[in-house]
Amino acid sequence: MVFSDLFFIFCFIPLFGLLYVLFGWIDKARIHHADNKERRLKRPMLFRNIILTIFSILFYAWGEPIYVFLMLAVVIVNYFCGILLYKKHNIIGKVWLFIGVAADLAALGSFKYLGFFSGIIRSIGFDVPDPQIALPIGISFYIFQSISYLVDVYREDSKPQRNYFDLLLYISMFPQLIAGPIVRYGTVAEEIGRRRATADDVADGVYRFIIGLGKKVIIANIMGEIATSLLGSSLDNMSAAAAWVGIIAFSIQIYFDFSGYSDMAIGIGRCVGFHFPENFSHPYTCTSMTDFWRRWHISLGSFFRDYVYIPMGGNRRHQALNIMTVWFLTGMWHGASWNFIIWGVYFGLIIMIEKYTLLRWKWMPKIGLYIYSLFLIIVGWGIFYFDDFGRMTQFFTAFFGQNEPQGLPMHVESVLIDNLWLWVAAVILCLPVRKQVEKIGYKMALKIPYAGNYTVQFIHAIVSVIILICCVALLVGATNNAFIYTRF
Amino acid sequence: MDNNTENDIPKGKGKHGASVMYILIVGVFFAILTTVFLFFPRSEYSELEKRDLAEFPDINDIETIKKDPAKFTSEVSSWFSDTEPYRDELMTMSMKIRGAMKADYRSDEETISFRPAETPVNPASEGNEKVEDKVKKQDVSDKEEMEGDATEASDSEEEDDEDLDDGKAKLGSSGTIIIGKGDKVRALMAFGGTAKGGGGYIDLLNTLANEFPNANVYAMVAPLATEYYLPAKASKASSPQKPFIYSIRDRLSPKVKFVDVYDELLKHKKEDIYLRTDHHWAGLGGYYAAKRLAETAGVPFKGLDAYEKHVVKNFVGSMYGYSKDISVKKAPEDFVYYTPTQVAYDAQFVSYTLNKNFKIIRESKPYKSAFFKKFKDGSGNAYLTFIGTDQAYVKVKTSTPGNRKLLIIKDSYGNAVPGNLFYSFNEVHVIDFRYFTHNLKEYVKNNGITDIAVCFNVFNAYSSGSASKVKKMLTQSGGIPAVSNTDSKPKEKKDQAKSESVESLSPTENTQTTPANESSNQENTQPQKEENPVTPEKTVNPEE
Repeated sequence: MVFSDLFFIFCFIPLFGLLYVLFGWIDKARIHHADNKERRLKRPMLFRNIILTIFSILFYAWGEPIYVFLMLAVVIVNYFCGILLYKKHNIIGKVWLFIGVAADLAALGSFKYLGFFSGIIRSIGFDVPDPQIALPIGISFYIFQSISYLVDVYREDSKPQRNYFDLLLYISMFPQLIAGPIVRYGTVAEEIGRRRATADDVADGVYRFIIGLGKKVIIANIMGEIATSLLGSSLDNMSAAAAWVGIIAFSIQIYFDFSGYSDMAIGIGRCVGFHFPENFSHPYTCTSMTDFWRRWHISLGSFFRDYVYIPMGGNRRHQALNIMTVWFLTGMWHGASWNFIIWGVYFGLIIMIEKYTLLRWKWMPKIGLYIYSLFLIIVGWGIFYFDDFGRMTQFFTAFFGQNEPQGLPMHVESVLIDNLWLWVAAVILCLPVRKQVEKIGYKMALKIPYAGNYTVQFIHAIVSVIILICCVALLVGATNNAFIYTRF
Repeated sequence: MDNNTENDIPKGKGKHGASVMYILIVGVFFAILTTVFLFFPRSEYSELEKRDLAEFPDINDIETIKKDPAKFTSEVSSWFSDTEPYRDELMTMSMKIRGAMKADYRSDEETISFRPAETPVNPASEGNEKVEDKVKKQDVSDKEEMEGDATEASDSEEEDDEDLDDGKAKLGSSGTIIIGKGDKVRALMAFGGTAKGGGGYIDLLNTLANEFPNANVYAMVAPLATEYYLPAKASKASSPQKPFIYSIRDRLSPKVKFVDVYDELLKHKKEDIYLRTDHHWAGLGGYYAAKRLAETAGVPFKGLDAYEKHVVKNFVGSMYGYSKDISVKKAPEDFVYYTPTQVAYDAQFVSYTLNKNFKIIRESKPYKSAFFKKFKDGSGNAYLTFIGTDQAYVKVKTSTPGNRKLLIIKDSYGNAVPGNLFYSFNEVHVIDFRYFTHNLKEYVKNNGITDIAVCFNVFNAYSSGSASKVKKMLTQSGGIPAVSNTDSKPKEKKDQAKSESVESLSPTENTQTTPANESSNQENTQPQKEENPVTPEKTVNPEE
């Protein structure tokens, strides 16, 4: 199931919402009538957590009815390893950590990378069968969350979860299950046991969800259509304009697709009282690639920083090796395909070079930094987009103007003009404009005596309703509606 | 836009109350939408796209569900979004939203929009259906209007599995091109073929000429409107069809007569030979094609004064649903057709019933019915005026003297041709290339056919699959082929799974077309097509 599916919005959400509220009352009544105080305090979220877990499993099973058992098994392994390794300062702790992480990586490896590696082995002459395993949705996300759980417990940043179902809830929680953000266990450990969702939380969460839905349905889907129309068919002798417009459309698509998903995840989380980490911070306004990766898929970047880069020695020991390892893994994480690995290594190299050049050159004008960064990001998406090297070569030949046709072909012009206002809106929304407008708007609105907050929320409500209507209409007959990042 | 969770709204007086107000407004609105989506009657048929909508997957078929539960759940999701209440209204609204994103400063001549072909993803989404199918489903309101009240079917073509396998034969259409503005809007289909294609068609014609040495064999290839109306500056959007059509002529055996439809239509380019809003040509286009055929065959042919002109007003054809462009809907046209007045003719139909998987399961007994069906103004299915269906073969006896008996083997373009040949031949037989279960040799022999024309549009002439179907008719033994409900399932499942996981991700998987083997084939289909939820067994035969 995906968030931008009408079935999710109008079946899953209402049913979940109703039951969650209902069982919230039961929880409260239960606590109110509990005879002893100790028990009362023990599990204030019991029923709500049960509902959330059940719906999370349903949510996952809807898309992966079989692999849901894989997820349950992963949680069991992590559950026991977590308990067994906690506060074991000798070798035993290390062994259990190793077993747990190895089991997680083995699951990821066999379901995500086996086909890739068997292909490599075949290509060097050994006859191994192609395992033909379909990638379980979201496995990269929940495996990374499992690893973060084990490591955090090992480091004693968090206590191990003694309740299997609460750990299952952490791993499977449907808002962030299939495409992140990668929530660290420590971030939500307390909220699993005890959390509050005030009216403010719910209002902000709903608004956030609807903004995310709009990003996905109104911008990302249409931009995706444009990118496909320009890059999806024959690239033979394509014009430079088509290559540029196509890959820029894809750049916009992937940002709004993924950040839209994160917004929706964070929004749903807010509504049930969780505070998930932010995953994006206007990545296209970065001033270097180093900066870009602090703004793009933040939860993945910080995962690698805390669990790979720093343990390896960070900037104190063989920094170059550390950087290249992290970026190789980042590329690899995105998929079992060479182009992702190249894409990761590409960023690794640039970031390494930046350390000695750009980041030390304080004299560079900002505008130059923006252009530099955007150019490299766009080239990066070119690598990212094509998993076929022949097509990638064709694309870059066109991209760098090596093909005959110059000027603006009709097709490209049509794509631009027929969606002009969307392009304008998308580019503006890549900038922190909305934030600024809201800041100023809130300031002005709050000056209205007594009704300041009401004005703000009323405007939010109008915006929400309009976005909802547009999304519902645009989702009719939407064909390409899956989120890009659920593939990873 | 990001990073604002905590600081969405600064704290101030009355924040709690304001949040409650927000929740109430959005909540009530959402509750209304939910009620509509869950409890209002679901749509079953899309007028706009001219197709039946998805059906709820068979919940009793436990075996299939067990085998592939993911398919079942995705079908439920698809069903839910496909059959939304007020679907057509929402769809129209969606087109309006898309329309509002346009910058509309260009002059009429300059206005050209491209719509990429949609990548078929699931049965619920349109686009995996041929336009052909969409247009043929008759809307209920037209039913009483049909003079012949003959066969009506949710008409969908069967696809032979080998066609899907060879990969060369069919690939998705490369899209649509909208030109002009206001009431001059014309929707065109892009052609992706090269001059090298069409080997199957040539082979078919040569084979027919050899098989029937006593009959005249004619090759008729109908170009798409794109060839005549695509503005020069947009010429790259579609491959030229002329080199393809004339390369067919040059490669045909001398025994086959080439009917130069291309040239004939070119002469009449300024007239309304093509429909602006439909993927077919107009009655007039079929008339001129028939004229050239008659000239080539050396038979008499009458001018339009021997015909009565009929008009179906406010016609908006298949290209609206296909291009999803609101401007097409805003430019309805007259659907004009001509019926011969000075000749007596009598049409005898044999129609086919298809099952869910588009296999023929039943053949009707011959019955008489009107050759031209009448549609009322505003009907989007008016192209069905000619013959009314593809799932039938028709024999028309005319009062024209002589012993020339014509057999037209045709796709839907060919439907508009035979009605103009009643002055020319003593008998006109029409066979659809997809639906004919008898042995063609015997049919030709038994009916004393003297002239055989294979009238395909460029898509079908390009696709070897279409020709091979006709070739098979030469050897098939006749009767109804055995019906199997399951033979298409495994493939479909695989395709489904694949498209589920790739969807927007690697568009190359779905739409990549290499020019060498590309045949943008509107008439033909894409793998998911078996899922196309057309109600089975809808063919109604009044004589049964």
